[in-house]
Amino acid sequence: MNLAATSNTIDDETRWINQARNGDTQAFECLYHRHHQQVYALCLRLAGQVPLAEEMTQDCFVRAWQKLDLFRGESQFATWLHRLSVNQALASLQKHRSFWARFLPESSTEFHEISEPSTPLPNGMQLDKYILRLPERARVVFVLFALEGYSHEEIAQLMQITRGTSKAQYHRAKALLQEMLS
Amino acid sequence: MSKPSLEQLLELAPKAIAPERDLWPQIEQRLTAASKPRPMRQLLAAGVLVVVGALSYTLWQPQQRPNPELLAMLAELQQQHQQQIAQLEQKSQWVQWQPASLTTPINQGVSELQQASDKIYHALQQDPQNQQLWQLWLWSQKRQIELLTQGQQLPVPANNPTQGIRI
Repeated sequence: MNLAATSNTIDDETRWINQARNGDTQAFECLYHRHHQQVYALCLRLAGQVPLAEEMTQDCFVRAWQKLDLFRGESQFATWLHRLSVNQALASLQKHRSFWARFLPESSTEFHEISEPSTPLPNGMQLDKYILRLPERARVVFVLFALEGYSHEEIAQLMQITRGTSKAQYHRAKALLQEMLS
Repeated sequence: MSKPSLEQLLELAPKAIAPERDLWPQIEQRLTAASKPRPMRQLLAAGVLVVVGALSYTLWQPQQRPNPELLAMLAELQQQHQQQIAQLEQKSQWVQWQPASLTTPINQGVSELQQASDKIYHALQQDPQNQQLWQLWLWSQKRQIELLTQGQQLPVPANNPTQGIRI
């Protein structure tokens, strides 16, 4: 993309943000179309299943709409949206887990230890095929650390676990993935 | 051909994945239902703050102000409030699609608040420097506006509003 095109992209985005702040859902739809695939990728990896990932993606954009007034333009919109989406996706995941915990025995809420993904994935998503088979907590830590670039301190804070637990879950995930790859 | 390593797969992992279906229609539905701070509400809140600030300043002046000025301000505020209420009620009539079961409690509440507000107003006319009466009066006005605004945002009933929701 050349410099002029990049500039236009930023101009469009700034305009859409301002319009959306004033309640324009069409402008927000433009923002959605520009960023939804990144948000969905994050949600799919954290959720480990398509229906929940879809619900989480919706939650993220509804939250972004509600919080749009807080976006001051100090960072790029994509960065702001990504941070917000990580927080929202984890909250949605927690809510989903709490919901099922009422009906399932505790051991079942960690979901399948290593299971087949419920939905077939397209080609080019080899790693995701394996990630979706990881146990939930290990998967979340692995995605945040290895794919999203969060530190163990940040993950510990986000997930309300200790730094040591984050590291342990990451190594567990890594070992399981290497086993699946071998 | 050997299997790719985990590190290689991490590098190849896509940053973006397209969902299998269009998620926007459901998001849009939720946006319209979500309570986004409206400029009207913000203006009202700011207005109440300004009035409270102005009144506090007026009431705590070291020398007593003559009553006519306060009475004039009181009358003016009452008039402005009545205008605001009239505007909101007119708006409510345009969007009169809610079932009576939803609007009746709100209308009743607004009417009770109006009666209370009128009584406080008369008491204030007798004692315009009573700070507690001022606060009570402004609070009753604020609640009235909030209730009317809530009434306009009642949910759209399903096809058959008398039918319960099946979970």
